[in-house]
Amino acid sequence: MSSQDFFQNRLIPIEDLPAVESSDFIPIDSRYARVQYLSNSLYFLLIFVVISIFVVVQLGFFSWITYAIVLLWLLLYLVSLWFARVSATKKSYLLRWHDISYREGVFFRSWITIPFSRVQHCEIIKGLIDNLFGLVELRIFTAGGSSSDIVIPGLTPDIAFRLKEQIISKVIDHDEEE
Amino acid sequence: MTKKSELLWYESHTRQAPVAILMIIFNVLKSLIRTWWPFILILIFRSDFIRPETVKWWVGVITFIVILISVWRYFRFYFFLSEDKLHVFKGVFTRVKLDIPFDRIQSITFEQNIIHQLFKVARVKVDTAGSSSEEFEFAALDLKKADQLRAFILSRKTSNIADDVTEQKTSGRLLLNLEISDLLKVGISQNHFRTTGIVVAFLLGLRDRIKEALGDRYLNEFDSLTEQLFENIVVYGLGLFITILILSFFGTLIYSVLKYYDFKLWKSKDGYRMESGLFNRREQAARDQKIQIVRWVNNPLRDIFSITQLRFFQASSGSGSSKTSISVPGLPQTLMKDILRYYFGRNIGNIGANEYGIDRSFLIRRSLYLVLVPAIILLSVGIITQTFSWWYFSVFWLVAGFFYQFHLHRKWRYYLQEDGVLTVSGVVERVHKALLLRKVQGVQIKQSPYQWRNGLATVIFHSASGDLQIPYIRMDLALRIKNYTLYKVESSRQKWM
Repeated sequence: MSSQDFFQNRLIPIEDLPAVESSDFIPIDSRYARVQYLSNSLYFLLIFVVISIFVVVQLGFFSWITYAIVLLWLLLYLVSLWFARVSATKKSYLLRWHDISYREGVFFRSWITIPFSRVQHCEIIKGLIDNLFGLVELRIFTAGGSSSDIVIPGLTPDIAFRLKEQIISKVIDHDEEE
Repeated sequence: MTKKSELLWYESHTRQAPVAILMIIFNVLKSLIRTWWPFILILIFRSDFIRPETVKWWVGVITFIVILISVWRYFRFYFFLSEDKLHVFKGVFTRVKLDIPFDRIQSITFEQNIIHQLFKVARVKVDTAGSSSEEFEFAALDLKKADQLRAFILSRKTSNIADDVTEQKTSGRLLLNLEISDLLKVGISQNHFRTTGIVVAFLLGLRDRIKEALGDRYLNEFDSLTEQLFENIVVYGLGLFITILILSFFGTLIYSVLKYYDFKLWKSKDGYRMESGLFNRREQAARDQKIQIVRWVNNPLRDIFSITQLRFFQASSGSGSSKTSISVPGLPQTLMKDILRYYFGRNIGNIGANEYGIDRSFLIRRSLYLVLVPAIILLSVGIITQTFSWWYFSVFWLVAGFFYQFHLHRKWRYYLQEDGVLTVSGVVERVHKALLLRKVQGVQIKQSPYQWRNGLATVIFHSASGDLQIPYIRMDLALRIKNYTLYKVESSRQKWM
């Protein structure tokens, strides 16, 4: 049965449509949290250096403002680590016959679905820190602006490659049908 | 085949029309002024750097360099056509070689300002679907050559063969031709309050610019000048506002007449073509298939004249950029039905059916964040500084803000059609957007913490030329809309771009 036959019947009751929400999403690799730990740590290290310079030049070591700033820095750092862990668990994707979905967000949640017939191209990106943990990022591009592009981080190269192959083959399928 | 020898010019290296040097000089001057204007201002106002008697030497030297660079640039720029690509060589200091496959070319548009018209040449813009670095333009090409170039490229394109402006030129029905009286209506019914706001913001920004460029001495003079203007703000403030409003009114009027003079819109079998402008004659084309979103904006003045401002958004590299969108000012509201019929490809008698409003919490949340919180801050400032004017302002913000948000919520409408979605929003200025579901290339559901706690969501339809949003609807409805849209997109076999 070709994919064309799927939607022949125009009068489908809306409840019978294939629903995205009932399917199971696949979470990204849990090692992605570590990628975030490392990049957050580097970022906060940079901030710490700036604070240190400021402390040495301006405040002196034993001012209460110094303690307050360092305490605030520590607090924000811990929060960022916690957030990195939680947000990594919230990132998940779902491949269906005709489309790919991606969900993310701890507080502000987003859930985007792109039909394969609207995908322009895909690429796999290996970031510097990603590489240390053996992870890659899959980017799926649509036409026009970037607002509807999907970027799935924290995939193992094997899975990313297979996802890409799958999407590309579907995109080609659609092109041939037209 | 006798004609072939004449046509062969574009197969060998070709330069632009010689008058292009003029345009290049103009462009070089423009970019010089754009990058060096603070310096130029300093030179003018603090001329102790240069003595008056040496000024003419400086001007002479700079003019000479500008002309030299322009001529050099002109001779460095050449192009030729191969079987399937346009090859361009350009650049003085950094040399650039561009190879543009014909298939990637989205459109070729001509523009003529008054100099172009005098010398019978045209500025030719070549748009590609890719990044903006691949887009370029010929400053001036012989009209005849430009026509041949376009015809050749379009005939060699394997895809989108119908994307032919010249073909549409011959066929097609004149849909709209604006006369001066129509343009007056267009100019009058623009949003002058927004223009006034921009002018006021510009004046405020100007102060910083003057400080950057000239230092504090001139800043004081500027301040004392504005102080005189703003002195007795209650009396003159209103006067200033009205003055700017009147200026903006006539400014827009003149602008509309210049830009949309003799505006013509044609509808052919598969697209639109438009031509407009007094000094700068522009022509643009859009195929039905490329049009993603149709937007039209009404306001009370336009309703009185029963016109609307229409815009077609075409698929482009940067979403919603003005280059690829076609703007139709002063379209009679009665014609809107035809435009929608062309867009939807069906009779749209039931367009007003399936009307929905958005959830009440849209009003509650926005009143809280955008009205109540700022009002409380204003009030606290008033209490701390013991100034009554802050109190008045706070109360004014509270009342006006709530009134605005109330009507914004009350008037927000969306319409779900079998094949498309329509949104209408705005209190005074009513913005209508229509999007065919098969043009959608991604559906997104977004939820803020408040929204997911209360089972609400915002649905965003992404298209190749911008987005369409439905904010604050029930999550189950959002999911149904999403599933239905995906079903329509995935089952559609029609071309969409």
